[in-house]
Formats: sequence, structure tokens, C-alpha cells
Amino acid sequence: MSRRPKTDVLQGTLSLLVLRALQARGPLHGYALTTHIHAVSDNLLRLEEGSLYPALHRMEQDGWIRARWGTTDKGRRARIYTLTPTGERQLAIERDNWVRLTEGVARVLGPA
Amino acid sequence: MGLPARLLNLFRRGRLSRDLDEELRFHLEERVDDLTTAGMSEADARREARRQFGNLAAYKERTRERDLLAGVEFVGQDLRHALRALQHAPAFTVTALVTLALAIGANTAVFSVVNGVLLNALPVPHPEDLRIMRWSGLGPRIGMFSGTSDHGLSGVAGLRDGGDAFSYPLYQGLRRAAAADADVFGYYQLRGVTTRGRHEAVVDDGLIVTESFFEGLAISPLLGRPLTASDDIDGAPPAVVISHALWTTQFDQDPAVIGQHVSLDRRPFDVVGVLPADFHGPGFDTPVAFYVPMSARGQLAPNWTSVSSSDTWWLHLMARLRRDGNEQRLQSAVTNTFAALTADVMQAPRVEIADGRAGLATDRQRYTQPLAILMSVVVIVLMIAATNLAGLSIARAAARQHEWSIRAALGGGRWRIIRQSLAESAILAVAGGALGLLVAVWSRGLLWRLLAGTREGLPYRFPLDPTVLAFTAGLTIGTAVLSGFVPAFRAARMDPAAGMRPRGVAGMPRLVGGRALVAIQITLATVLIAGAAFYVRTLTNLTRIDPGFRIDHLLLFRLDPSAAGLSDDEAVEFFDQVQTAIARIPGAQSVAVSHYKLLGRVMSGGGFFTLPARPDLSGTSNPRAYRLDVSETFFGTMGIPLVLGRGLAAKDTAAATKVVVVNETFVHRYLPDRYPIGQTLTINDEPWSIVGVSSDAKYTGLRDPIPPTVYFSYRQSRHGSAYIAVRTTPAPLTLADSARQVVMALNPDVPLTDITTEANVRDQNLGREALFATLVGGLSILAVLLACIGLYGLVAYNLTRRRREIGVRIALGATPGMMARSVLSEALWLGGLGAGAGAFGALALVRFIRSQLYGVAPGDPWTLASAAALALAAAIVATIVPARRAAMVDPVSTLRSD
Repeated sequence: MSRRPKTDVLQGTLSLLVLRALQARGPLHGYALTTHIHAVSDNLLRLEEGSLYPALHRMEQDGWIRARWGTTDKGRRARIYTLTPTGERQLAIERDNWVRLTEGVARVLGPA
Repeated sequence: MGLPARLLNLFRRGRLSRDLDEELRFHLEERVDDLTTAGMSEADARREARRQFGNLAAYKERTRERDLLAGVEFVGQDLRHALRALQHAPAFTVTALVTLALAIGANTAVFSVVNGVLLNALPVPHPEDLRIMRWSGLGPRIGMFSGTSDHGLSGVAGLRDGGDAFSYPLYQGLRRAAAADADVFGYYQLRGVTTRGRHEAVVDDGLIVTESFFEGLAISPLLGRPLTASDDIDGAPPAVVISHALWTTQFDQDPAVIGQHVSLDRRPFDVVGVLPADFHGPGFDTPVAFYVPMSARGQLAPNWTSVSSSDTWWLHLMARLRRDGNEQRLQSAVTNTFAALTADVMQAPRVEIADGRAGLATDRQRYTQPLAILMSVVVIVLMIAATNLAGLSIARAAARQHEWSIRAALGGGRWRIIRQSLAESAILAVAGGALGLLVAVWSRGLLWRLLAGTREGLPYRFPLDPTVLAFTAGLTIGTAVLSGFVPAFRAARMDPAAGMRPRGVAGMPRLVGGRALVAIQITLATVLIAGAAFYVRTLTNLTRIDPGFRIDHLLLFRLDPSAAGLSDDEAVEFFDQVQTAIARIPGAQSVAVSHYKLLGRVMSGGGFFTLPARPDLSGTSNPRAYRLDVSETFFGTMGIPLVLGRGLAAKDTAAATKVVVVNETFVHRYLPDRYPIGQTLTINDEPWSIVGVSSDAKYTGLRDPIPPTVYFSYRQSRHGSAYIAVRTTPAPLTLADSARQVVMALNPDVPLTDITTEANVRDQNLGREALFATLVGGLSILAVLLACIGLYGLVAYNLTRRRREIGVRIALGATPGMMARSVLSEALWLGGLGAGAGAFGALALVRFIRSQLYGVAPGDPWTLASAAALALAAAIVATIVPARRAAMVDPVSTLRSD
């Protein structure tokens, strides 16, 4: 097990991660989203898996993502999420915000 | 998730919950699979999966709440946003609310009267089984007719004419023929009966009813019993059923009233029953105070000697279909019997059996057309209001495009924007509807008083019953949808990028839809102005009509000596005394007796005579005339000049030679080539000699053509009651009290009623026309005002949009005048289009009010053109302010502002 400290996903950043994951990987179910985010963040980002679901349902209501029932390779019924055009725009905005935030924070901290 | 899905969520918790369970279970299963694949034991893998997931129950609950709240939040959030947005635009909000309140209020008020007058069923069990009957035929010839007819029963051969009154033999025949399928019953209205219980006598209307009247209506008395066949036998003790109102005013609701006397025209009747408070009579008419059986006709209608004559049509007929009755069989039985009994009176007879749930009443027909017209007018106003609101919302939406573009760009869904726009119009419509109800409550009483003329005391209230409330709710929803959808979808179509650009030409789109709306408003307003113009012209024409007699300074009142028990001879003597005594009152110039008041809408007449000089006038073309029984002073007092021969004289007594005076129309119609004086009329085989010809004067009403009229001396004909007409020097009503004292002194038992002036009677004649001119005029002003607000809004908006362009143009050398003209030209173009379309629309619609017009052709080009011109002028006025602003645009400041 890694000894590096893990960061709790910042409130509000979760949607950015989900949107980005769906943009990069196409339609995914909840479990696949969890493993994807873990994998690409190199296990840096710790995400309590359950917290994903209220967020997914909220994003669905906001029209950023769409859900439908499908069947996985193993023949299990799963709820599969897809990015909508609105979601694409939302991703662009959140990504912008994130970049600006991190740049700002980086500037405040200065060179190490 | 769409709106329907969201709202559905509220109703399918179970399904949602199962779905969520499945989704979460899938997640855990997948994790367990991965962990076991990595070598963990099944039990450990499960524990680890749960640990990584976190608090399963809590997350499940949070997710489910999320789903359920969506439906509630959806509405709540949108409404909150909409309310805030409306608060920030007070001018828009107030304009919209006032517009809606007036339009919805006017609609509700008119509809509540329509509902009360035309739609409400009688308060009896199974009103849907009730039927009313009307007859029609070609060229009907009926001696005496007392009811409402289509064309005045002028006996013109080949003209289809009809009415709502039947003869007694017809009633008997139809009742017998229909017996298997329906119970036919009838009634006749007795007007102005002096009624007295325990208190001072009042003048009331009552009904003479046939034997099964109460059984047929299925109305049960509150106290006592109804009238039955046993009361209808000649010689039975005189029985009366009284209304709740009479019971209250004359007997103080004393339950011991049964068996007590009520005196009707001074004859005692035994009260056998009291009716419930909500029953005012078998139809919508003046309230009925009492009901007496047919056997009472001799006492209460002594002049109706020919009640059972087949030539006297006077009974209104209704029927109650038996529960096992067959409507078609009823129709054919009634038609066949009617045809058989009227074969020698008319051709192609027909009986129309219609829905009678609201009862039968002559008054209803009087109100049907006016109410239909008013309803159409207020619906047009509502349409203008809705269009106006839509236009205002579009302009507002366009102005807010910047805001919405940003929201769209930030991910606010289009749906969201549409929903908020709809929420705004929903709030406006609901608030407007509520205010409209207030307006309606206030205005419907006023409207009814106006419609009913001076007939005070009609018991009809127009409650805001479920039907009316449903109507208002429907209007409100309709308005919200109509005025909310257009702007909402425009908002949804917009391009966020365009809206984000600096505000200028590109930032504010052209309002193509807005222009169409303004043109429609001007069209509708023009239609209403034209309607009002037709009424105003009708009113002017009517006031200019020469009635043929002097209307001013004439006091009128009705005396009924027969109610005081005076015989016919005594009545003549009494009238002589009254005339002499009143003539002595200072200020009285002359006094006359007249059976009816002129212009009073009541008349008698028909084909009651033949002319020996014209044997060719017989059968279908027999001569017909109105008759009026008057005193010898009548012509002088009324100011009707005699053109030939002499007037009636005091010497023309019952014992002397029977004489008449006829009017010029009579001579022209029936004796065109003869010297009329000395000609005779034969009435009941007796000769009546024409001794004079008077000039023409209106009889029943200002609008009615002057009929051939025969004036009889009241000394030679018999009538229970008559009007006294007094020509006065001062204002006529100042003599009313002295006249009353004079009559009281002569005989305190003779009821004196209906004190009025001829000018007043004339105004009642014009009442409906005046009312329509006022109402339609007022509503058309409202419509024009609304259309102007719409136009002003559009032009002002366009001006804001083009401000930069105008600035540039002025900077490049365009004069301010050119700019103002370019703004004005748009208004002219829209106004001209709308006004032109409106004129054509009015031309198409005015035929519906054709029957109400007088002296103006329904296609009158001047009226239509002036209405269009007025609408166009209003449009230009509404544009002048923004046009002036266009001219005053300062190029430097506009260019600098960007």
C-alpha cells in the first residue's frame, strides 16, 4: 500500500472529474467511473465510492449527463451514464475555473 | 431529465428505490468480483467493498432524496426565480397585471351573467327532462297573441314566423297527444296584480298555471301543498301558492300562513303552499310572487273572455319528459297534433321542442344576443391582452438576452430558461386571474343593472359558482400558455454566443414575432372600434327619430280601477274625475287617458277588424292594425296633430255611434284611394266609423316602424287599467306627489303604479343601444390602449436596438427628422396593416349585430374607414414619443458608450 497521503476530493470537483471521465472514456457505469478516476489519478485521489451516486443523480437532473440501463460484458444490468452537450459545456466551464484556481493558488504559493 | 419525468418521480418512489438498490448492488458486486480476482476471500471482499463504498444507507438515502426532491425543487425554484425577476421589473409587472385583471375580470363578469341567465338550470329535480316548446309556420294568422314572436306575426303570406305562446285548445290537444311520453303544462303571466297579505299592498307579477304545473316542474313547496287538478275545477275554493319572497314580505315567514288569505286585485285567495326561496319561477323573468289555477282566470283576468278561444294564443308551454318517454315519438305526436289543429291558420306548421332545463322565459331571449355580443367583445379584449402580454414578454426576454446567454453558456439548460419564462407568465396569469375575479365581483352587478335597464329588484344573483370559477381558471391557464410559450421558445432558440457580444445591433434581435403581435392587436382593436362606432351611430340615429309626438314634459302613471272593484262604467267615470282633478293642479296643462304608455313596448292589436271598403283584403291578407284606447284629450296632450276630420270627443259615449280615429299609415296602407272619413271598420259584425285621421306617431318603440293604428275612445271600449298622461309646464315629476294625492282623495283603493315620464320611457327604449355604445365603446378604448402599449413597447425596444445605428447615421449626416420618420414609418406600416385588416374583419363580423343597428348599413364604408383611421391615429400617437427620442439621439454619446 502506498504511503503517500491521499487527498479528499474537493467538494465540487467531483463533477469535473466525472464529466472529464465520461468525455474521455465515453459511456460508463458508476463502478467503472470510480475505477477510472482512481486509475488516472494514479490512486492519488481518494473518493469514498458511495458519494459518487448522489452526485451522479444530481448531475443527471441538471441535464449534464444522461442515464440508461444497459448490460455489462458479464451480463449484469448496470446504469450507464453518458455526457450530454450541456455537460460538455459545463465541463469546459469547470475546467476553466479549475485551471484559474490552481494557477492562482500556485502564484500565491510562489516557487518552492 | 425532462419535466414529465421529474414530476413523475414524485409518484413512483417504489420504482425509484428499487432502481437505486440495483444500481448500488451492481457497484458492490463489481468491487467484490475485482477483489476476489485479486485473491481476497469472498467474505473479506464483501467487507472491503462495503468499507470502500462508505456508509451505504446514508448514500442511498441522499441519492433517493435527490431524486424525489427534483420534482418539488423544479417548481419551487422556478417560481422563486420568476418572482424575483418580476419584482425587478415593476413597470412590466404592473402593466401586465392591470391588463390581465381588466381582461379576465371583464370576461368573468360577462360569463357569470351568461351563466346565470342562459346556462343555469332551474332548481328542480332532473331539470334535464324539461322541455320548452316553440312553434313556427308560414304566414300565421292569429287574432290575439300574447308572447314573444319572431316577426311580429304580421300575417304576411309565405313568411316563416313563430312564437312561444299557444291557445288553450292547442294546450289541451298537445297535452293529450303527448301524454304517453311527457307531461305538458303551461302558464300565463299576470302582470301588475295588486297583492296584499298582512301588510301594505304591493304590485306583483303572478302566474296562472295549468293543472299539472307543479307536478311537471317537480317543485315541492316548502310549506303546505302545490296546486293540483282539484283546484282547477270551476267553483273550487280559490287557492294560491305564494313565493318565498311574498311569504317573507307579507307574512313575515309565519309558518301558520297556510289557510290564511292573500288578496289579489282585492279578491281573497287561500294560501295553500309556500315555495322554496331559490325558486323564482319557471324561467328567467321577472320574479313570480304567486301561482293561481286556471279556474281563477275569471277573477284575475276578467278581460280574457276568450280564454278558451282557438284564436287567442297566450299560454307558454313546457313539458317534462317521462323517464320512460320517447323523445322522437313525442316530437311527432306534438307536430302532428299541432298541424291538425292549425291547418286553417298557417302553412307548414312546426313545433320545436327544445331543452328546457333553464326554463322558458321571454326575457332570456332578450338577453341572449346582447350577451353573446358582449361575450365576443370581451374575448377579443382578452386576446389583445394576451397578445400584449406576449409582446411585452418578448421584448423583456430580448432585453434579458445578455443575462440568459450567460446562463446558457454557464450550462443553464434551455429547458430551464423556458421553464422560468413559463413560470413568470404563470405567476402573472394567476395573480391577474385573482385580481380579475375581484374586478368581476365588482362589475357584474353593475353590468346586470345596465343590461336589465331600470328593472330593479330582479332576484337573480350571479354567484361565482364552480362553472364560473372553472371558466376563469381556464382563461387564466390559457392566457399563461398563450403569452408564455412564444417568448419562452424564442428564448430557447437563441444563440448564446450572439447574446454575449457587446450590446448593439447584433445583441438584440429583430422582433419579427413582436411586429406580428402588434399588427394583430391593432386589427382586433379596430374591430372593436368599428363595433362601437356602429352602436354610437345607431344611438345617434335613434335619438334623432321623430316619434310623432312631444316626449318632453309628460308625466305618466298607471291607474287600475278594476283592482279597486270598480265596474267598467264606474271606471270611465273615475277616469273623468281624475282628469278633471289633475287638470286643476298648478303646472298641469292637459291630461289624457291612454290604455298603454307610448313607446312602452306593450301593445294590443292584430287582425281584429275587416274593412267593408276593401273586400279584397281577406284571408291571408286581412288587414291588421295596432289599437289604442284613449281619451278625447289624448291627441292634444301628446301633441299628435289631426290631419283630417275630427278627434274623439266626450260625446262618443258607449251609447253613441261607435267611432275611431286612424293614423296616416292606416290610410295609406288600407284606404289609399278613398276619402277615409266615413269609412267603416267591422268588428264583431258591428260598424265603427272613421271620424278622423291623425298624423303618424310611434307606438311600441322608437325602433319599430309606425304600424297602422286605430284609436278608440276609452268610453266605447272596456279596460280595467290605463295610463294617465299629464302635459306639464315644470319638470314632470314635480307634479307626481300632487297627482298621487288627487287620486288618493278620489278613491284610495285604486292602485297608482309605474310613475314615470315619457322621456324616461324613451331612454329605456334607447337603454340597450346606449348600453352597448357605452360598453363596446369603453372596451374598445381599453383595447386601443392595450394595443398602443404593445406598439409603444415594440418601437421603444427597436429604438434601443438601433440606437447605435441611428447614432452612426446621424454622425454620417442623416438629419434627426429622417430618423424620426424612419421610426414613424414602421408604426404607420404596422398600424395601416392592422387597421386595414381590422376594417375587413369588422365588415365580416358586423352582420352578427345587424339586427341591433338602426339607420346605418352593416357595411357602411364611412363607419369602417373612420374606425380604421382612429386606430391608425392611435398607433401614430403611441409612436411619437419614441420617434422624438430617435430624433434626439446624440451620436457622440452613443458611439462613446460602446
